[in-house]
Parts: sequence; C-alpha cells; structure tokens
Amino acid sequence: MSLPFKLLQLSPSIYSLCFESSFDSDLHHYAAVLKKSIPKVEEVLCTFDRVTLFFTEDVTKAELVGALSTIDYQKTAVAPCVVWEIPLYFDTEYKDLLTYFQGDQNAVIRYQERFFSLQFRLSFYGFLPGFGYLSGLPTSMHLDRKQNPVGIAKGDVAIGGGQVGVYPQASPGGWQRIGNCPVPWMDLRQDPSARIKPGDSIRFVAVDEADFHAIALQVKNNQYHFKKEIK
Amino acid sequence: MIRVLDPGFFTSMQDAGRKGFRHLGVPVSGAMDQYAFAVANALLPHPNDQCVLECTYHGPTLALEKSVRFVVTGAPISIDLDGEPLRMNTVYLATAGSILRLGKVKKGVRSYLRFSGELLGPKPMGSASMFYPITPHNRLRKNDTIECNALPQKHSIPNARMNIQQEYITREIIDVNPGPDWNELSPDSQKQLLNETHRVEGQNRMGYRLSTAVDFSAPQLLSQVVIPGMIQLTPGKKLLVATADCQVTGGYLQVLQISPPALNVLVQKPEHCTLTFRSKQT
Repeated sequence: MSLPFKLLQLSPSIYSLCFESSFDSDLHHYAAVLKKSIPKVEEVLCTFDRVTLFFTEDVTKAELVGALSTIDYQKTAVAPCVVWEIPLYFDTEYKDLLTYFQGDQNAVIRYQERFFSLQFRLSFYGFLPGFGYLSGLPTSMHLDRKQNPVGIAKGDVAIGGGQVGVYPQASPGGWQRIGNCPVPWMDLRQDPSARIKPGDSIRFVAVDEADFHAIALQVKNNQYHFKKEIK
Repeated sequence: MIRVLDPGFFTSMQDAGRKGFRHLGVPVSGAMDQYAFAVANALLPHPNDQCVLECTYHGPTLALEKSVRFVVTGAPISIDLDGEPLRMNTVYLATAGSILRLGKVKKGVRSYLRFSGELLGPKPMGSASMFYPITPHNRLRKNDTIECNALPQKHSIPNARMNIQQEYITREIIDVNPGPDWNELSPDSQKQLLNETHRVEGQNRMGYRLSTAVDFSAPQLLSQVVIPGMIQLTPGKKLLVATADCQVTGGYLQVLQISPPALNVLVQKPEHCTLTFRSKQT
C-alpha cells in the first residue's frame, strides 16, 4: 500500500508525516488512531499539513513504514461533532485591518461580515501553551504577516497568512489582530486542560463592548457557560 | 530545607522535563546543557528525582538548613561553602546551617547544582521544571524555599572517577545537519550559512539568536513542529536556534539542525561570542 504522505525525519525518535494538501480536516482522527496503534509512541502532534510522531526510543524508517502500512488512512476519517460558539469582540481599537486595507473602512466591514459567517476548526495548539491554530479561512481572506512584531494581548484573535490564532497570554507577534476573545480555550490547572479540543469546530459570535466586559466578568467569577452544539 | 538568600542572575529548577504535553502548546523544558545535567545525575543519582538548579552566568547563594551532599557541573563557576573554595564535578557534604555560594562563571554560561536528595514541590504536568505559565515563575526568587528530602549520609556515592569532558564549553565549532527546509535555500545561501561566522546576539532558555548575512525572503509558511536544536532563518536576517523552552511550533524556515551533543556546546556560548557551523552531510 502506498502511503498518502512523505516521511520527514526530525531526529532518530521524531518523524513527521507530510501531507500534500494543507488544512486536511481528517488529520486529527488519523493522528488519534496512530497514537493508539503504533508501538512506542509517546506523543502525536498535528499541525495543518503534518502529523508528527514522538517516540519513546529511536525507531528506524523501515520500522515506522511497516507500522504505518497496517493502518488505512482513508478509514480513519470521521466527521466533526462539536461546534463551539465563541464570543469575539471585533477590533475597533487596534486598526490592524484598517491599516491593512489602507484606510478602506468598507473593506474592513466586508471582512468582518465574512469572518463571522465562517465556521473554523481547531487544528492544533502550539507556539504558546494554549495557543489555538484554526483552519477554515478562505484564500481570499488570507492576510500577510507584519514586517515587525508588536505586542499582542491575552485573548487576541489574529491572522497570519491563512492561519487564525488565539493568544492565551500576552506575547509579541507579527500576525494581524482582528479582535479579542474574552473566554479561555484551555485551563492549564485542569486535567484534561483543553476545553476546546483539536478537531472541534468553532463559530465566532460578534459581541459589543458591553457584552465583552460582561462575559469577561463571568469568566473571572467562574460563571461563564460555554455554548456548544453536538452534531 | 534550602532557602534562597540570593537567586543569582537567573537560576531555575530543571528536571528531565515535561514530555507528552506538546499537543497543548507546552514545551518540554529541562536542562539546557544535557551533558552537564547527566554528569550531575551520575555523580549524585536518585531513584526518583533528577532535579537540578540551572544557574546562568552568576549562581545563587543558598542557606542549607539540613545536612546534604551536593555537586556542581557544567560551566566552571566559583563555589564557596562557608568561606571554603570548592572544586567543580566533586561531591561535597554540607553540614546543617551551611551557606553555599556560587559566584560568576569563569567561562561558559550554565552551571548545574545538584543535591543528594529529592527536591519536593509541585510538579505540574509531571515535572518540576520551571516554565511560566505552567509554573508560577520561571526562576527562583529571593527567599524562595525548596524542601529537600535528603538521602541519609551513609547512602553510598558512586566513585566520582568519571571521565568528565570540559573542552566542549569553549568549542567554537557547532556540528549541524540539514533541516527540513534546507533545500529552499539557494546553493549560494547554503554555502554562505556554513562558511560565515555567526555572532551570538541574544539568548535565553527559549533560544539563541545568531547573526547571519543570508538574505532570504521565505514564502508564507505554515507553522510546523519545532524541536530543540532546530535552526530557523527569519525574514529579518537572523538565525533562531530553538532550545529547551522553545515554542513547540513555529512558522520560520527550518534550515539546519544542531545534533543533541552539539547543542550542549551552543548553550554554553555567551552573548557576543562567535561560532561557525560544520556540516558533514551537505
């Protein structure tokens, strides 16, 4: 059986499976199957177009190909089932989008309307503890990264190329900020930590400034109820 | 109990790290210089604790309230126990109430202090390695206390007649291998990267920033897995070498990789010093 990816060896105990198409929605399910089925796997990490396997010991390429050949990639695909409704206070202060669109206010409004009509998928966490990478941004809405990083606030939602990211803490970053999300995606003190899991779907719901502060207060007092639909 | 009278420049608790949480964006952490860490643990082994204090440039001053054995490895640093100067890579016994002072490194950057006991304390995600926001702080602070469950003095210490390497601390050549994106570079840029001298412009536990003259504007890349030792080329003509606390994913071009033994050489390089890469495979 030919494998639907290229193998990239990062170290004697770390391999990435590189898929042709990025934003492949079925990688999580495949990754979960690999974690269960491949011997000596310590951890599996999905990125947009790769699945990386971390082994507890060194593994030869031949051993890995042998193990991978026993799993049918096509059969591991499963439809998503959880859709989260996440509040987003769209940027009025940063003006990253206004700068990006060279002062064209209508372009910002059109971008905003389209953004809220989309459904995204949490592809993976990375970069910082609890930093969520989302897929589902159409090519026409991709935004080039900034030349120089700026300070990004906790909860900011930003776009880097075709990637949408949610910042769990303040950090320098070169992505275009489009707004702020007042609810935490992960609680590192809890086990399991991730409330919203890779593979889950996300719809952003616009909130105004008053709602934003009200939600932030509910979160602070542990009174916020996450809205989700199981499909 | 160990009380921090002065934390030094940047001292943190580090053990074997927290593996298995990269999928949450949590780095592995652990000692930067894995060789010095291994030496410290070989000289003072413990069945269920590998924790060391990783000192940077200038070590801490500690009040040892109980009798405990200790050893210092890695970058040579001045060690003083109640006024008596001590040697590196040698196990000593401190009596209860002693003051242990680590001064400035003589060369290199990072020294490792290990005690003959289990350092007790919170281990979020299975590790005591300090990394904010997984632990409340990323370094020891003045007046911090560490509970140490010291092994009884009669506990046998392996004969410290190890052949301990120190030459690597001042080596200026770093062995590298091609990284996943090596072939994105033109042959000229590849040659330049391997032939030029790089200057350490800045460093911390996340990574080393090195100078380069290679100018390459990469396409907009998708974020990929980053592991310690990965050398990334940024659009701003810098090389970023990922180290122990590196972010688990990143979107820069991954041009070269430093092998684990050579990474121990890099993490002992202070700011402003220069180094060159050596590749056997390219």
